[in-house]
Amino acid sequence: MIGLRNTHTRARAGLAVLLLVGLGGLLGCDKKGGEKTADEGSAKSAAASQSSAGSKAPNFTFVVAADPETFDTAKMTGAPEGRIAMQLFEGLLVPGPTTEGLDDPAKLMRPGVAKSYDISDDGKTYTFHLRDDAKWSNGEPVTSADFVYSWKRILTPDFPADYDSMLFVIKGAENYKKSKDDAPDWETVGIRAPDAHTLVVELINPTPYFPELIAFYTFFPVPEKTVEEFGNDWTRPENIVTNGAYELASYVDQKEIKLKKSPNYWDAKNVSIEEATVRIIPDLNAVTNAYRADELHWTGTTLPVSQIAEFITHPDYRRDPLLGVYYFRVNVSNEDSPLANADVRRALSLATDRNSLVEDVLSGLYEAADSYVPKNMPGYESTTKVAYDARKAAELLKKAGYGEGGKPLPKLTFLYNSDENHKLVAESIQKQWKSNLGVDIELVNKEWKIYLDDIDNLNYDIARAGWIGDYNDPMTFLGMFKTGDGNNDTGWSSAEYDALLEAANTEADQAKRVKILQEAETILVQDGPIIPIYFYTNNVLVSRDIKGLEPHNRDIHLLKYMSLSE
Amino acid sequence: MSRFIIKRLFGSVFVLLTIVTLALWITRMAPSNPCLKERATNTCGCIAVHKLDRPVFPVYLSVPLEPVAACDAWEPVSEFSVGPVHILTAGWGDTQYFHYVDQLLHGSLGDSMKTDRSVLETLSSALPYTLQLGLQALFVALLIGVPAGLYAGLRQNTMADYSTMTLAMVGVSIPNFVLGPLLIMFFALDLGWFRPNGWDSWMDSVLPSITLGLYYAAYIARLTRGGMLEVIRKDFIRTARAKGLTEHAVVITHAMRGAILPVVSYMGPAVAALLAGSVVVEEIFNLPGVGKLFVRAALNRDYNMVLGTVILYSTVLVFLNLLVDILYTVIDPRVNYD
Amino acid sequence: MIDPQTKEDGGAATQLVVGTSLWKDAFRRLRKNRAAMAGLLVVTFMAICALGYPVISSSITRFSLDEQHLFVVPKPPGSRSVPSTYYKLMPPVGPLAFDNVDTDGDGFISESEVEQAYRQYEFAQIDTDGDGLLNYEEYVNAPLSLAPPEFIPNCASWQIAKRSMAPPEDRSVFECDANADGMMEFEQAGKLIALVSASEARNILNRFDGDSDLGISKQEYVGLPRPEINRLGTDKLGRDLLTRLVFGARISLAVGLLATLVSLLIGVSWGATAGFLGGKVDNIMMRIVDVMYGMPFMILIILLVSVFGSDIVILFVALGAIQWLTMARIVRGQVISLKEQEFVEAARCIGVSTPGIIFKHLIPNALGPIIVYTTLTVPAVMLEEAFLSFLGLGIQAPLTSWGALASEGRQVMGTAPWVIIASGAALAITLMSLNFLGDGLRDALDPQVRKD
Repeated sequence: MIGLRNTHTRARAGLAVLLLVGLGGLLGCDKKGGEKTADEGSAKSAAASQSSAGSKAPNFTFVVAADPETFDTAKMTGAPEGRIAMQLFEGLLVPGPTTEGLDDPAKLMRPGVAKSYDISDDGKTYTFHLRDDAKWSNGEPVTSADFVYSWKRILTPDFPADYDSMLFVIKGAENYKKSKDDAPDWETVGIRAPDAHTLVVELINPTPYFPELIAFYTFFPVPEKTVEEFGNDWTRPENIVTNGAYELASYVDQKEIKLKKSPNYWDAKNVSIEEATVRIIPDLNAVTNAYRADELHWTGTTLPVSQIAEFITHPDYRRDPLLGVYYFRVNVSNEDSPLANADVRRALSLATDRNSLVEDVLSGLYEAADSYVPKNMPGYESTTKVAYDARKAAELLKKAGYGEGGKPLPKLTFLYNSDENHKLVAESIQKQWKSNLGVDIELVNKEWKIYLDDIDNLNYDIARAGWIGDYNDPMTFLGMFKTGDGNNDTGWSSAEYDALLEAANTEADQAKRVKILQEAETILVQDGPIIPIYFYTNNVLVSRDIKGLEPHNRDIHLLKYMSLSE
Repeated sequence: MSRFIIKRLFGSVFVLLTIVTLALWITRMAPSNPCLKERATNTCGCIAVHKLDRPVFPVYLSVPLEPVAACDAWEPVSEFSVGPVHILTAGWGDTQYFHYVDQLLHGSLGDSMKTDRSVLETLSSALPYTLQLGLQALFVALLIGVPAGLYAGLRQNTMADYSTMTLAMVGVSIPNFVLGPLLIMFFALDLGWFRPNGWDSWMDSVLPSITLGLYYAAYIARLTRGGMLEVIRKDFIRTARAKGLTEHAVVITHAMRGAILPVVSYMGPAVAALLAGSVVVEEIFNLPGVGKLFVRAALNRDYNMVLGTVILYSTVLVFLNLLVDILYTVIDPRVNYD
Repeated sequence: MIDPQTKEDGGAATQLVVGTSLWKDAFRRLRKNRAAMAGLLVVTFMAICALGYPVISSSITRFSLDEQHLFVVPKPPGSRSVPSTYYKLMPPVGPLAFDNVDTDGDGFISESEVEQAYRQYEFAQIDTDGDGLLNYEEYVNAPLSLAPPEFIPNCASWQIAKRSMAPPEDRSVFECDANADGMMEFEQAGKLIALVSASEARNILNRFDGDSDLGISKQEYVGLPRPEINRLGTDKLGRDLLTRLVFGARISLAVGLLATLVSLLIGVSWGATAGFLGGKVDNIMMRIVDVMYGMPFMILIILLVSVFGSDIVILFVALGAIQWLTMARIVRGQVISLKEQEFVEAARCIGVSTPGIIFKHLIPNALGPIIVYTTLTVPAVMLEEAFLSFLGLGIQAPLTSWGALASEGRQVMGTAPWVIIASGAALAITLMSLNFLGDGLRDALDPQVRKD
């Protein structure tokens, strides 16, 4: 471009720029203008009862958000691997397809490897009767010895099982695991297999949620011969042996996992879906795009607030309940801090307008919390409610000696881990507390692992927290605030609360137990180191062609219940 | 020449070792504990397996990872102070460095800190995708860029020149993370010709390769044109023309060598840039390649994986640079390394 | 040298050759290059916008960088929001008179009455023929009807979902054209005329509610803040895009320029010295370059970010520190070629010292590629910063850059394409201008490639 005398060049350059902007604008306008005439399109899809989702996929396809950390059920902790393990393996009992409309927790489970079970009168001994036709994928029968082997493996001291605490409801299990002996005595643990089809488990306390616990993947059997033969490699697709409705056909890192129906499964005749593909897509924006391109039948992972515009009015959008609560932890370990005063904590809770937070900041995706234990827990209802009352909050603060006319409140730090959602909530709360109580909050944003560190070391004033329940019983939410519990992380301790929990543990009568837990929750909410904010929901896109994928508050969906209407 | 190559090979190995050492030190110095999980009861076990409570080198200022309170703390061999600085020492065999190099010499890159698979296995499953993406992008870049640049250079100051160079300008100015989503929006979501993400068949690699390669096509076109312009003015070209050679012979036999000189010397940085660019492209198109693996590992603090990918990248780059330098001497005989 | 002051006599056609320096000559040539001048103009314009950000934000767009007006979906260009910092007050007359706003007549303006007042305002804006009813054309031209159609779905047949947040089975759909007369009334317009959410209305209330009694009394009432147009729409948190774009210009340009400067200084000195001295020194210097090359910079950045926080100064240094490597290589390559040329020998014969040769002879002659590469480094650095922001590691909120905006835009691409288009276009246009400018400079400075 030497000596540009030629006016054409500048025009050409300008044209190129216009072209670029124009192309981009066209693409954009195409979306906007085109979409208005494509109103027919959306009307069409709204009117149609058939979904075209997944029509381009060769078999049933859904998504997990990360590579599974492992396929070894004894070692896993996360959602992606959990979802897959539930298809590959089966425990003594199996979760039913839904939790909706069920008031009795006992109705949540169905027979699995165990065709029936008996409970002793004191509620502490369970006898499981295994079925005769339960088989591993290599044809060998599943026996009670398999369960004994698997649970013993987890309880072996030094075995790296992160969820081993699930087994500590069994008599002697915790002692066995934490024993410093060279050869701890297995006989002290309450697990017995009198014959190949009977399993007897003794619990420390009557644990009404034990049937649900049993269906959790930590309790799944692992194939003894395979594990002994291959060691850590036993989960490779070429070695793995499973006992569930599906087998692991293949696994490509970062890409997909393929499942195929297991012919040796005892209930194979009722399993409709023959093959399934689980795609690994960490980027949730890509998930909604793939769904729109008709490549998925189900998004599998829950969709975040940041994507809301992409899915909120899609005809396949579904908001399912989820057993989880988003709350704030308050550090009460520092005596000089105003937060050590329960009145101050309650004032903060009363000064929080949860409804406006959820509606305006989170676009109504979640449910404002009115208690701590989520509403959708069958068989339990909280008796204490949290509310929004700015006036009362101000009064309480005054009563505590701060606020108007009292001592000035020091600046408090609010810790959250880096995430846009949390940031929105934090900023909104900052404004609310400032305008309702005059409290100054400093927002501190740390990256996940450092955030965990800070929580562990009580290096915060108020911190954002969330807890998804492990089973449908209030104990999963209330248990962690016992004095000294590993997940307490607030320094709060109440002898009364501890006593109530202990009483609930030993109470065999269901109705009485519920009352005790309600009392405990009351103490926690009124006196405790928490401020509940909202209950989680599960926002997904599900093709209307699928039957059997029903709302489940623990997000457990087994492919064996599902069928595709083509 | 062969002496030069051998010298460079030794040099490359030395470079790699330095990179490994530096990378190991940096990843271990980061202040967060990869073994901390929200519900973990096995933090101590994890720390012990990966030896995260050990120092990186035999002389150190403080243990890099504060052991979690309940774990068995590891004791240094000796400690003393020099002024305000507190120094601890340990035996070589106890250091993370030794542990890692030892592992490396036995042909293993360790296990991922997040999954129970080995780094080597995950990398080898991801590598073919990235290689294919990179090669295709390079192919796109050279196939479009070199002829375009030669064409424009030969027809300097004509309309052909101006329009080609303007297009090249546009290509260089659109970032790949804008181009990618636009291409997805238009060709995948609206027209449905391609899938919006994932890699099942070759067709799925078309959009990513174009997204990655277009920038370099434009850049190479400009470089080639520049090179051609320089060469075409040289005396030996005038001589060739005076001798009566056809234009074709002049270009292909004589001018081209000089014209692609800048392109060749750009190949080194080009591959580095392609590797970096592939991170974004793999993220946008959700391809199961090394770039995406690296990003996820870095964000998840999976240090073994990060270290493994660094070693992979470094090996590729170092040896590629060597190749480029050799190629340069072949093409430009004036350059003399010895 | 001929004295340039000497004038010729009238009539004599003696041409005086006025000596010029390399630079004046080059500048003259540059001026003739129209594309380059256009590029220069654009870049200058961007720079002026960037510098004038405070003025633009407070007087032109009237939105500040970070104020959020959450609205579920990003609003398209042409829609309105109520600024919270730089607002202008609409006087309390006409439809905004106290008695008109206080619809329940209790002497206080409440939150919902504020909301209603704004809905009236928006309705009046959309209702261009002022007849109190919206016909189909007015509906179609309303900015929020240009929002993702599923959000305000299908009003071609005049249907609006009452609570679009509810799951499909719970949505009660009512006809917005209730009496099927082809016109929409105020009460039926729903989300189409929503301007502020409940919490925003409350914030506005709090601003004027002096005695904190949750209502604005007649004495306290001075009017309401005037809504302003979001000329480029908003992003997903309701922040004005144009304001953010201008701010992004600041950051992107600053990062580009400063990091390039850093890389230039280091790279040129390093490469030229290595190339000229050759031998062992060259070897060592280039070995170091190789080592640094092989180190993917992501680790460095992540580590720096996690240890020192995402400081903008760190970014300058880090990005500059990556780019100098290629500069050094290219300069060294050039110097190696040039080294053998005659004028270097000539200079050495005369007795010029080694640094003198490097800085006074080699570098100016190698300048062509240096300048080309510099002007290609600025956009490269801008791209790298954008790449980091794309991965969430670069510029952190509340600051923003074009790259960060593009990354946000990508997430809402399906429903709000204007975000990525605006930021992508800004980046592309600026980069193109810089490239044109760089080309022009190269052509102007490279003495060999003359038109004659």
